[in-house]
Amino acid sequence: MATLTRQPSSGESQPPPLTFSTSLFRQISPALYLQRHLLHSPPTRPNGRSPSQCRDFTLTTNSLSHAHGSAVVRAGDTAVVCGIRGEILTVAPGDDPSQFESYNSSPTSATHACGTRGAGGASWGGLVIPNVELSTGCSKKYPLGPPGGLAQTLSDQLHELINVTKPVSLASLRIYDGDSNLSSTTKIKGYWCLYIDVLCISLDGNILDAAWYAIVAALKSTNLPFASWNQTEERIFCDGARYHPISLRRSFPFTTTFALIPIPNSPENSAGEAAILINDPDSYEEDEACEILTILSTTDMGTIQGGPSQPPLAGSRTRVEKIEKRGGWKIGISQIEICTQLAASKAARYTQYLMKEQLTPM
Amino acid sequence: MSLDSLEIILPGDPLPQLSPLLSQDPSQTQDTKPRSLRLGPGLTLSPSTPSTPILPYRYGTLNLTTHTKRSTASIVSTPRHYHPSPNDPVLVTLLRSTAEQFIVQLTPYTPPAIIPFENYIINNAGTTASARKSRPNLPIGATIYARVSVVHKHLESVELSVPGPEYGEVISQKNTSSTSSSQKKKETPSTAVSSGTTGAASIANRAEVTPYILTTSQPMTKLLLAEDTLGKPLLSAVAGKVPFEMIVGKNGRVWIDATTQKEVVKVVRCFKEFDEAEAWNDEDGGLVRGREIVGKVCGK
Amino acid sequence: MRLQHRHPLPPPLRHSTMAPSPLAPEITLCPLPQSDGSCQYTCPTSRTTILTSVNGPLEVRPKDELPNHATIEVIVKPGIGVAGVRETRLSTLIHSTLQSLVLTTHHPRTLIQIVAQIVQAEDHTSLPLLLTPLLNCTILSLLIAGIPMRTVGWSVHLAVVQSVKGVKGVEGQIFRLEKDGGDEMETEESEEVVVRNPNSATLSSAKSSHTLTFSKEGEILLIESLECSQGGGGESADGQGWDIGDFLKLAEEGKRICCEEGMEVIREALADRKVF
Repeated sequence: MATLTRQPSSGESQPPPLTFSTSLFRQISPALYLQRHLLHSPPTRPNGRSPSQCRDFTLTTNSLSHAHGSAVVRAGDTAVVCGIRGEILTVAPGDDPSQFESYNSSPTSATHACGTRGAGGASWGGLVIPNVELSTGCSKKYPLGPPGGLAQTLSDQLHELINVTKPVSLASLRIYDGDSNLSSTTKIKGYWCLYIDVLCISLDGNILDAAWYAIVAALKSTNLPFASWNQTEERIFCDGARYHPISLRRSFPFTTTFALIPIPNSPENSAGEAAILINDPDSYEEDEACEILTILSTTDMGTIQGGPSQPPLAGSRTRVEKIEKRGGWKIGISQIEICTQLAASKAARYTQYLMKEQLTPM
Repeated sequence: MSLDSLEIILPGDPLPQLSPLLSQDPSQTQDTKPRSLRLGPGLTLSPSTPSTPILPYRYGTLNLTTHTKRSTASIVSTPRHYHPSPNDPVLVTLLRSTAEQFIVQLTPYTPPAIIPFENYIINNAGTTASARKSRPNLPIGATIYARVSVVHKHLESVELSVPGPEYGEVISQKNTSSTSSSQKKKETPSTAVSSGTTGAASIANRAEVTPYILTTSQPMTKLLLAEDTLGKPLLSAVAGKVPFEMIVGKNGRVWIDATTQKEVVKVVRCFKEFDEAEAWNDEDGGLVRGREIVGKVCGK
Repeated sequence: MRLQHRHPLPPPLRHSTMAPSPLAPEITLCPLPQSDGSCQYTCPTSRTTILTSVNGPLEVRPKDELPNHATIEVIVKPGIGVAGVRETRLSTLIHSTLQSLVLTTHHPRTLIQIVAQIVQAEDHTSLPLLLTPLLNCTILSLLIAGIPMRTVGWSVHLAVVQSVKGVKGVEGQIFRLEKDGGDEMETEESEEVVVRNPNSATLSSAKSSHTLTFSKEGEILLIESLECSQGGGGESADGQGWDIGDFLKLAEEGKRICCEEGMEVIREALADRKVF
């Protein structure tokens, strides 16, 4: 039983304090409920984790048979499905293919409304196009209907993550003239355009980390059919029997999200801490958080025991590729440094998991 | 003694000049009353910063008054919106009346304000409008000169009062004398400017004159309220040409009346053009431009 | 000039161009006479121009009403086309930054509405190029509107460029970060320079872009840092990014710019306005 009002020090005439059951307390005063948990020694979150602990996750790849690559990620009660489908983009004669092979410049020619879906993605133009769907009934906060602010922001964040990390070698998405083995640009007849669709099945906070992990895992599991240009038919044909994986980065960066829970000055708060940083917040904690910090980083490759056959990678130190901090003002520079270390260790776990998943036969 | 520092203060700036006024040390001051500082608009208490507990929350200059019993500090700035604060004289429009109160419009962008009948004093004897007999029968759309009595951010609306007969419905002098049922009222708020030439003869045919309610910006309102200092150049220039009467509400409404309709329009145009040109921001306080406008509108 | 005085409509805009520093933005306060607070801001180097208008406190729609706080609404209008996901993201970022600056408890159950129009930009889709001018312009118009604020903030956009060659900039725009232990550093890294408020061309050759927003007291309000080097992706992207130590040095420099130079710009801009 949790007590909302403090025990009166003296006086028998006072009425007994109001008491509530824990579940009711959790509902009527979420901020206080969370603060009492975090002020406990050692600090524990209502979900039983310590502040710096992230949720356990499960990963399943290639569970969708119609997609070229797919992954299901579940972290706590957040579950996302990611499917990747390759569609063929035909290059018009006289078009400069180099504009397709850069992540930061979007092609200006409007004739290439990608595939059949035109403006369906977050932004058309690139060869790797993410889209996110939250209105699946995954949470009562996001009703069915057109995408709201969070879905749009998330979609743009994922698009930015792809542009920042450049996971796929865009040159490997070329489709050449079948008769020639020359890699001259004139022989490029088309490109594979990768549509990444992320569907959130269940939302319990920290959708970005789960969605990005699902995208990375799905990309790793993607197999595209061999495609070539048929000169007599003047069309691109796919070989339905032969598939090839796409060329990816070797050291993948992963996102880690932290939330800052403000703690007001109170007699119980003897340590004088103004706020507590928690790793991988769930939606109950996200509602109370005033500040969100997301770090995209690779991990120190030396700590990974996974692929012994692989040669050591260039830049094996922890490299940060993106930092986003919004809302609030309490996170200091030193905390960012600590969070980077936590992010690196989480990225190491992700990488290990991903390697294990790839080794197990389908 | 008024300490005016012209330095611009930004929100969150520390105000060390206020610290001596806050000394709560009991050993040092054995006064009967603890020294206290009244915080005016623009300043708030912030317990999170113990070294400088007073936090300015908007930009402006610090205005510190220490000559009164209780020293007062405030941040002087002119936001465009009117924020009601207690004792502000305001001009409001009657929207409707209920069994207990008048519901009036203070500004077009806020929910309506109320004047409870028990706050509506109709004569010098202190009779309130609570009784049905004494309730003034005001038409919808009537202009009422009132005072802000209660502002509470958590309450539904702002509460106004009519503290005496000098407040109340604004009716031009002529109309007042002709209608016997209405209370005899004199426009004696401190803001009324009489040019001195307004004689009985000039009030002929006043029934056809409709007073005008002009909406002004907050800096303009402050200028018109300060008739002896800031507003003097403009007001004396206008009054030199046209005799007129005005009531200024702090909510940015100015009621203007004169002997003929033509003159009402002239005064309104002077004020309006002065305001739209933002002449109050001039170096000379709008002296030159005010004269120019008055000369243009009223003729040499 | 005399003619303008005789015809006071439309109101003459007070243009307060801070003459000495080539890095100071061009700020016009109150270009929109009908709004509570407005500001036009032009970045001196990238020429991004933003026009913002703040209205508030207003009556709030019952759907958005908060019992103890004012509702802040940020609408970003694009320079071309209709608003899309990028504009939604920008308004979310501005909204979360303002949430920590505005004292929303002073006007509960009201609405503070901010409309930011992108007037001119080199690249209408680039988030880093737009974010800094949008934030600075919004903060200035909030000050003019007299919205209660806890403190003020300022934003700066820094780009890390591999080589000083080919980068044109005005005086003071390009600087080097001090490196400790210069011997350990690889030779190519010592060439690295930081460009302040880069334009589109500089940003396209940059390695990383950092939008840093600090409050007057040096608190971090917003960080939007991302790797932005060019490339075809795949294995060529391995090892990109930056070391956290370098970022911390950059953040210190950003803090200095925001807290010292940014506040000076705000004070100078506001000193022109007369208060009653």
